[in-house]
Amino acid sequence: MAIKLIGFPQSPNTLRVVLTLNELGLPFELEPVTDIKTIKTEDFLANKHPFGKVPVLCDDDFVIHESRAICRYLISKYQKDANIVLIPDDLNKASIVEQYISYEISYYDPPLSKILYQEVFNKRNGRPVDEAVVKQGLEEIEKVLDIYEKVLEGKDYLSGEYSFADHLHTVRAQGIYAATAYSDIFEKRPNVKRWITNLRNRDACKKTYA
Amino acid sequence: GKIPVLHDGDYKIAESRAICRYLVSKYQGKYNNTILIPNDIHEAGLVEEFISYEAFYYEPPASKIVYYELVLRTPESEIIKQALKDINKILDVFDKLLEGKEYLNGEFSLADLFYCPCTHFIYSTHADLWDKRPNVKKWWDRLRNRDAWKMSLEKKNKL
Repeated sequence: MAIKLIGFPQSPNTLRVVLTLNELGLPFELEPVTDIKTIKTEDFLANKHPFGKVPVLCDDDFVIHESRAICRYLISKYQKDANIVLIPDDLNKASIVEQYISYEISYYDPPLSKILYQEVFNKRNGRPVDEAVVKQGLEEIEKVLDIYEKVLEGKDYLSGEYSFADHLHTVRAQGIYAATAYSDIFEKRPNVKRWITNLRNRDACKKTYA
Repeated sequence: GKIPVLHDGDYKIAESRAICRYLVSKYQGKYNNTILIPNDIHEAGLVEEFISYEAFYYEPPASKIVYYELVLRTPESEIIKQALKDINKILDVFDKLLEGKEYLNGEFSLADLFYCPCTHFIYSTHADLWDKRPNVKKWWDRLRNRDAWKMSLEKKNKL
């Protein structure tokens, strides 16, 4: 097993995979992309990612892309040897985890990625922040986190025990804390705050963001 | 406060993609030979790539077209124009990926199935996007001629 991850080191999509690799205790080599042109070549489109995107993971000869597909692959292959259960074997428990994975894709990620695109990506590239987009993102995420506050009543994690679903929420939360003035959206809701604090204090998270 | 929600005996699950995965995990291979998520880890990984494309590249523009054209009925909106551009780019890539293949990962999988609902609606007003790309056209024709899809539409039309 020789794992190589190609990606922009600070990109949330790359960090999502790095976090999974660290949770599973897997050694890997990170090959940083420094010039975006290198992922748009004919060779890259044919052999790595037809949409010219990263991250791409190579596990010996097997090549896989799309961060959530990569994470699922790593979990399927290596979870049983690691000391952690990210997707339970029990069908009913796994399906509840899938429910919360779907929340992350449908409700949590879209508004936060809108905010972070403005606050991180635009700022880094010297472009103006569209405050209207940030405002709309904040309005949307506030409603979502109101629901999460109820879901997390009496629970440390979404389906009770730590799972891939909780794991997937970490990267955007880290982005909000590290690069914006909006961490209050988590801090002012006691159950959400407890949950996010647990996620951010995990060893794998600290290692990923060190 | 969203639907669909599935009840299977006493078990309840929401979120359409989670419901589909639950059904696949529990029932795949039990009533027929259709395999929607391969058992082989590497093949499953490749199917997951196409599932990810659908969730993050296809669904966002596709659902905008469905919403603005079918629900709001404002077909000239700038949003629809941009969404159609995005769909065109995706289908360009798919036309290459489907070269020599019947389905996205070779054999029919959950990934192909996920594209059906939005495509069904958009095809009614923008068929040329699929019809002008030979591999994509064949793929969509295969999908919409599957018995399961036809049965699903019959059930929907009866509701």
